[in-house]
Amino acid sequence: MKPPKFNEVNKSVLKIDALGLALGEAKFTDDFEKPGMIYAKLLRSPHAHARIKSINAVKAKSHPGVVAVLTHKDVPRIPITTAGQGYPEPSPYDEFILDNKVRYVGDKVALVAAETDEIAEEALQLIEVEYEVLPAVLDPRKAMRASAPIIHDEKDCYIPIPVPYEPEKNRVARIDASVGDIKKGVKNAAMAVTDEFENQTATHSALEPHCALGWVDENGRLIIISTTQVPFHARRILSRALQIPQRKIRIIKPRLGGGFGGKQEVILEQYVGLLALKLNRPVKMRLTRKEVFISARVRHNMITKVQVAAKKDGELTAIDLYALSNTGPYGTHGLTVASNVGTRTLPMFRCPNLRFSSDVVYTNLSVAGAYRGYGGTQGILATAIVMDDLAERLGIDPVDFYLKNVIVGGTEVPILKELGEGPVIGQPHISSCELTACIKAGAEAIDWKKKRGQPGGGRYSRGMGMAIMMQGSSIPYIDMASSTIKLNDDGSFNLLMGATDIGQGSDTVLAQIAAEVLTVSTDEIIVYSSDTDLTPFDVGAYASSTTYLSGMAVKDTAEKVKEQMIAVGARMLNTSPDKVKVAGGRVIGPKEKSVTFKEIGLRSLYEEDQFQISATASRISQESPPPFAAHYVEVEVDRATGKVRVVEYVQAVDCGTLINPTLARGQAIGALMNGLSYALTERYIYSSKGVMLNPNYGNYKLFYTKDIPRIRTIFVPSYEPTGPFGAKSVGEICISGPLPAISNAIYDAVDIRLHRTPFTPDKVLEALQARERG
Amino acid sequence: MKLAELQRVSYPETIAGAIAILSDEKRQTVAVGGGITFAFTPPNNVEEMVCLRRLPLNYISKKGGAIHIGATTPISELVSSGVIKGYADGMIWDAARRIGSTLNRNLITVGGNLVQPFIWSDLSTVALALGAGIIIQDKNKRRELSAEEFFSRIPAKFLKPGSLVTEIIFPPFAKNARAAYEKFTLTEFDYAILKVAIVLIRTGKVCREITIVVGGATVLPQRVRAAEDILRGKKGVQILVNEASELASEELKLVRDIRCSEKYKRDLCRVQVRGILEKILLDQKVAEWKLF
Amino acid sequence: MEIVLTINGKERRVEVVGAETLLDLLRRLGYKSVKFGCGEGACGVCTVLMDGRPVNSCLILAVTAGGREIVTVDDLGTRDNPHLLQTAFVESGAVQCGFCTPGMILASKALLDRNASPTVDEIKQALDGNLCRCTGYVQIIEAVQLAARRIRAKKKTGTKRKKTAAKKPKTKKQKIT
Repeated sequence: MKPPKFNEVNKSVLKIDALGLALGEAKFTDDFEKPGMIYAKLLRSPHAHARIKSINAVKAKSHPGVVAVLTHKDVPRIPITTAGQGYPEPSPYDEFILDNKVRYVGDKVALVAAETDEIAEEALQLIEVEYEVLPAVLDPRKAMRASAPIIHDEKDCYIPIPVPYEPEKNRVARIDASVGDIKKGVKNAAMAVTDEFENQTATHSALEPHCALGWVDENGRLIIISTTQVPFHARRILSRALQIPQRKIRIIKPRLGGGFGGKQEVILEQYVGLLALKLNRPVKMRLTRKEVFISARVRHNMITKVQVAAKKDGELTAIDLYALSNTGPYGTHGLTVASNVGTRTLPMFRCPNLRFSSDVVYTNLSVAGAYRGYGGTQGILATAIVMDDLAERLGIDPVDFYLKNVIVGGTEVPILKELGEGPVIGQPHISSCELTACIKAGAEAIDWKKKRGQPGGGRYSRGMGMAIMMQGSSIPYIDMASSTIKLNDDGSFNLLMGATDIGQGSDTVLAQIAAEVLTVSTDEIIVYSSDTDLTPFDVGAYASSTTYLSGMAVKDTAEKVKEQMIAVGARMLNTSPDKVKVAGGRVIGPKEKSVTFKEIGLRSLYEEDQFQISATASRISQESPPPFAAHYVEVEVDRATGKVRVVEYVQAVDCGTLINPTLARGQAIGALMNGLSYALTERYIYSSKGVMLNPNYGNYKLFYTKDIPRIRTIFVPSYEPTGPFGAKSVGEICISGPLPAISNAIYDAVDIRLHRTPFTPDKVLEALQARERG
Repeated sequence: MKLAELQRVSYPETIAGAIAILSDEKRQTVAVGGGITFAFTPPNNVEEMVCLRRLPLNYISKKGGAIHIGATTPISELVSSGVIKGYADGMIWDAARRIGSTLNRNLITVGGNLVQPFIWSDLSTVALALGAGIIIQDKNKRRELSAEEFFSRIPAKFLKPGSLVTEIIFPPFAKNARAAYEKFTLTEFDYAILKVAIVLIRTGKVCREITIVVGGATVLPQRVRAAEDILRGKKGVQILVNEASELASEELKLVRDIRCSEKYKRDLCRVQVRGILEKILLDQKVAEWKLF
Repeated sequence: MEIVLTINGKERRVEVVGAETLLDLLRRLGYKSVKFGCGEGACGVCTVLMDGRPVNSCLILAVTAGGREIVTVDDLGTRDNPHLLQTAFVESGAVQCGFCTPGMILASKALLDRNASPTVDEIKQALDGNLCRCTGYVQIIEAVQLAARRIRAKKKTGTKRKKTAAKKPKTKKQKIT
């Protein structure tokens, strides 16, 4: 489908909040203060698994400047999930504000409020806790063994949706979905390859640590400014956790310093809310970086097993994918991240026999949650390496192998019906898909055919690797977005949205969509986003939903407002609505007679038949159109030290129309960079007792300017018919390529297949030495 | 409250003035260079902090081939110094530009990096390899310790409160000497998993003197003497490179590092020592070393 | 304890509390553009210029900052008259969440103040302690290059104008070019 010509979309409009940020004026949560504000801190568990026998807070309470110390005995015992997901959440209610049991090193034990942050910190040292240390589950492979300690032995945990939940087996969820017959597929194949992989735990590391400020206003309502990706879910979950009516709560999201899924969780609001209500003082809580590492959420560590079978000519006959997912001690996003391992990989292939199964287990390690890529990263790691392997065994170039097997646009995808999060009506299908074009464009740009298989001799070997990937755009039939637009007397518009700008630029992208419909420049749109009192509902910034789903809601809202302006304008022009058009910020009637939006605004607000021109519209989606990408990488492996250096990276992306090319490029490169350090240097190092040993940037290695390789990003032309002006999502997809692409490139360079991430020098060298030994 | 006892922060302008305050036994004092250590862990019971930054110790000078660096010189000054870049095949410069980040290097002082040999103290490794001397000024005397002596213990622990490291002197670098340094890290802004500095002096075709220093394995830099011994005084040392690197790896003392196994560090040591020796010995660009 | 320091050109006499860092002090005084990110000198969101050099304000005890000249991003430009680095960051897509941006811009300014035409490697070296998790750095490097070009161009035209207007001596012109 050829994209039409646009005025305001498909244009790199300057990010509307960028100048304020560059000037240092924009306010983040921690930049807000209230008179009389006190500071809250949590005492955290030193044990991976223990029962709290007693807590003595007498000393802490009498420490000068301490305002309150609360333990599990002082708070309501209501099981909740911290997962900021739709209602009812597909995550178990297995966590409490404070509990008599701790389930990981860093779990909350007691809550302190004090006049300063420093005093609160001092008070933590004065709380005496007696623990009964319990055996812990520190390996997900051992979680379901009969001998394993039960992490949730309390009676009151449950999952609010009708799916299997077996805490007595440490199992949060299981999945088994298939189409066709795997056995038959393998039987009909010339070659089948089976392999196992494991990806590591990782922190999102948004530069802004989690923070919340809460106070009770003059009407007795609890107001919370929070670093949240999900203000509306936060309000709902908080209402449950504190057992107060939702109408008593207002959540405000200011500028956010990045999220990446790490702020799709309610981990601070309940504590500041509780204290603010109890003490009637403003309460601030900000995590230290160490606390972010150990107690905020992490990417699910998974052990994935995959079998892929194909005929002699490379035609795929079966893909059987299994994931053992380590969700940590609480099941937040446990089921859904696991199901996305299948959802974000299997639909890419024209293969009649597909299966995805999974066990999601509790462990006493870090709490996993949503993380950019959301299962896709784990699924693509496994499938893209095994397919590289299978193609090689069949003597086929992986590029040709993929070209033979990937789907094209307009394909039905029955496996999605089996794997979907919600009800699926009709046969799921994928409308736009330029995966083939991505594969070709990337191969050409990096000169794949010429460079591959030329490792060169000596200490340093070069290698080429590739992978293909997909994501979704919102959760069909579940996610909902809405917006309100109103016309002002000067012809400008207010756009009020629940859609949550967390730094990705959705305020700008959505304003552009409104401006396109309303035929004005984006400057004329005044954006206010994410305040549960003032903006209509939106599920929030996750599942790659904002541009696509919130974008459709904004588009519909703008269309409705446009209709109202047409009606008023037509009356002003003494003609009928069907005889006018809207262009360039005017309603134009016959003989080019026209009225401006300002004139319409003035008339509708002051002059005749006064009313507020405004509309609210909301949208759900029947589909989740996937963006697609092909990633290519050239690496250099130092055979002597095992160090892998990325020489060049090319990514070709199909994300539909680029509403804002600069911002889309920012998402693609940013996600890629996150994926690169995840593949090579980021890792959680635990002690044998489950203590994270490297909760700091000194020993948890992220990429800085000097680590970046040469990167090229290609957007292939694409148009998604269901999306706003042809757009799909681009926020998450590019994070998933580096793991398998680099692993495949290392294989091309030095003939070793790496199965466990990250590919640190010691691991590479060990594999090289093992290979030499034979 | 931390630093609750602190009554005064002074900024003496002379070394004698600073030492006078620091050696006052009635008061708990502490000398502050870049101050990073104290921002991380504010010292207990300190009554006076003596900031050294106004002392005339921020300099890099060349005297008769030797390099004198004042203790309060920030690492970033080493990085932008032509004198440092041109000395000892750029070895100090190589080490300095990879200490921390630009933001850190503007704070970290040469003195601090030597006195508090943290995991990021890369200068200690090259100071030992180049046979530097460290000047310590006490109340009554000025003494020079060789890097060898200085790094035999943790300097911050044996230096008395009234003793101030004022200068590090790198001796003239011989014409027939070569030096090279390598730091192995996961990312560019990172602490060394291992770093190696080697200085080799030749007479004709004989390796007259060699110093091989490994850092990052233990808190203090370590000379691997068995490896040096097998090369010292020998002709045609290329053939001994493998053996020397093997010996260095075996001799290496190690403390536990959460980032990798002991075996990996030994492997790395072997590779780095061999790599640097080969770089020095096989450098075809320098005519007089070609035949060595 | 009381200290006197200069913040954005203004001399301030301030009471320092305990072991607070320069970062804590600045934020307490209302300079909220200086951010907390890690507290270990490894992310650069707390960058300020101290006597002209970019440093981690989280690594400096406030009590030792007496006599220092501190510059935060607030001093660089205003909405009506932004610094060329600020507009270049906006135009290049170098601002995503913006949490690293004040620090990035200050570190970039320190670079351009002493090197008007930095290479890509020099830009990378100058920003090597400023972490960004959103952009992937590419756009930030492009922004610094863009700002450098504009600053050079502005200086050139500025000199030309001066030359024609006031007929500055030749030596001065040579210095700039």
